[in-house]
Amino acid sequence: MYIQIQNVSKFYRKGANKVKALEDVSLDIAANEFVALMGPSGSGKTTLMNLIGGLDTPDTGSILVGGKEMVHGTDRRRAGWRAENIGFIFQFNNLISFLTAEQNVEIPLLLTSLSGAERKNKVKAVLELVGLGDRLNHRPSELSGGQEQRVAIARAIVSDPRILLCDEPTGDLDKESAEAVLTLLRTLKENFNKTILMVTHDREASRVADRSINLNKGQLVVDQAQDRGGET
Amino acid sequence: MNLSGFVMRNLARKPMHTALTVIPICVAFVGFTVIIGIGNAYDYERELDDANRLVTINRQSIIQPLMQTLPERIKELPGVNQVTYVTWFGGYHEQPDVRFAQYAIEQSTYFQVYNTVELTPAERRMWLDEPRAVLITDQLADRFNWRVGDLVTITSTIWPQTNMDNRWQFVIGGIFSPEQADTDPNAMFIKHDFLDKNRLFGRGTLSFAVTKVAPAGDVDMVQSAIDAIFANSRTPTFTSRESAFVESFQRQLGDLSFVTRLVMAIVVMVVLLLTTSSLAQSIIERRRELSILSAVGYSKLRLGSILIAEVLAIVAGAVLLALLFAQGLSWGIDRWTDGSQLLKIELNALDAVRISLAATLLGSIGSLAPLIQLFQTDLAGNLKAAT
Repeated sequence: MYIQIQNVSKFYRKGANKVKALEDVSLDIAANEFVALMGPSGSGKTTLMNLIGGLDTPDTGSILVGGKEMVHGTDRRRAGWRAENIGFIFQFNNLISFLTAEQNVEIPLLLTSLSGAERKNKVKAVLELVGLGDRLNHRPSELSGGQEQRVAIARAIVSDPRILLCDEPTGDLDKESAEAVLTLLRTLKENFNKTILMVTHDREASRVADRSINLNKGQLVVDQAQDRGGET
Repeated sequence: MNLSGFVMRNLARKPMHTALTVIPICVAFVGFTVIIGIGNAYDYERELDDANRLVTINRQSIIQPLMQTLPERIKELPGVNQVTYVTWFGGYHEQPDVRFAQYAIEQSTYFQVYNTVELTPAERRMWLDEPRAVLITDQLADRFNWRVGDLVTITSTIWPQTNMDNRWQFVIGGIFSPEQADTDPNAMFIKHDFLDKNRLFGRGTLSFAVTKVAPAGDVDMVQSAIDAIFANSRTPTFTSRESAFVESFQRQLGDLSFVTRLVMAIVVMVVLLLTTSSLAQSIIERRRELSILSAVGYSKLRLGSILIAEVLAIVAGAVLLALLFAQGLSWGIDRWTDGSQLLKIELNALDAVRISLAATLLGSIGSLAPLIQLFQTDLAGNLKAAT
């Protein structure tokens, strides 16, 4: 298994109260698997995603990625781990408003030792892959919602991470744009061997995944493989 | 784009906000820079000072005259090498706003108290033989294109001639370098005898006397002794070292050290307040953006560095503008006062470096509290709140 989540619990403090976000969740995700993570609001989906992405640390339990326990050290080490292994895609406001599509995608590469020309070539290739090769110099305000989301996907994959974590990537899009984004994610799994965990409320969107997992009140309630007879 | 490009683009996204942060810091540093520049000019004056020279003025006021018998009595004091005296002429050339310093000097003693000036034999002859002869600095000669032998008219605002005309005609007797005589770069030396013989009133008086104490003499003792002689006379005197005398002019601009401290305090407050508030506001406004950067692999330390770089770029921009403005002001004042040493702003590279370092330090200190705030921010929580 590529991602192993073992008895993970996470609590938050709200004033004097301790609020349970995740309780004793265990879960395995195979390499190159596309998993849809579903559940009502407050069920712990985003918390689980942030834990896998190293944005947060579990209170108990452990998370192993590629057989190695995830770094729980300093913020700097976790950030370094994220830069190498994780690509994040969020529901909205994914992009930095004053930068062009090209510059937004380049942001993760500024942390690498690549030269300016190498970065430029890589960014261009990735934007062409997501179908935005002609939108390099457009700012987010000059792009449609679907295009913005595709730029965000380009940014998530530009440093070639093994894992993509998508938090409601189609939640803010019209049907047509949503379908284009889901097709793109599926392509990344099929052709580029990405392991994808997608948080979604949308049952239709979840059908693009190989497997669907449901959380409720911080606990895993359903974990089932999906019949993908009808391809997206 | 690189990280510094990212910083600059962020500063450019809200030009008005950036300008409103830069301008007050710039204004504060202009004040600071100008005060330092004035301080430098004052230090320059002190460099010209000879520790063995004492200046005696009327105790009532610098504009009240003293009697010409005073130098003779001072010269009798033990430890005194030589005494000379000077009278302000207070004139202008052609137009009232074309001013420069004219000193009526006692020509037989002045260059024994101050360094002598180098004159050609012809100039020396002219200076000694021609009553109307004046000596001028080379800078003044260049300014008015005056040459030895030229007749020039200076209108005195203090002294009319016996014929009631206050326009005095002089002959350029010699041109010298101001460094030689420790004097103003735009100075004219008039013969005191000539002034005294031809002025309508004030004959037998002088504006101030300068005493040169012998190398082995006790300057403090001579200083006290001079004032003691005239303590009970009609014109009691006030004697001070030449540096203090020059400082009295500077004091007319205000208490420099107090103003310096005051301006420094204002600059420190302004820079600290503005950098702190600007950065704190930036962190609040850009939580979502910082969270996304964190998600793509930027550590809080790196995010903090980017934010500090933004603050320092603002402070650096403000300091650069302030230095340029102060340099322009210095140039303007120089032109306006024709290089007078009494009102001058002098800036050098070392000051620019010092001011820049001070700005960097203040900007960094001002960034500390917001950065602690950033390190305590739950960036993952911000992502959650938005999804």
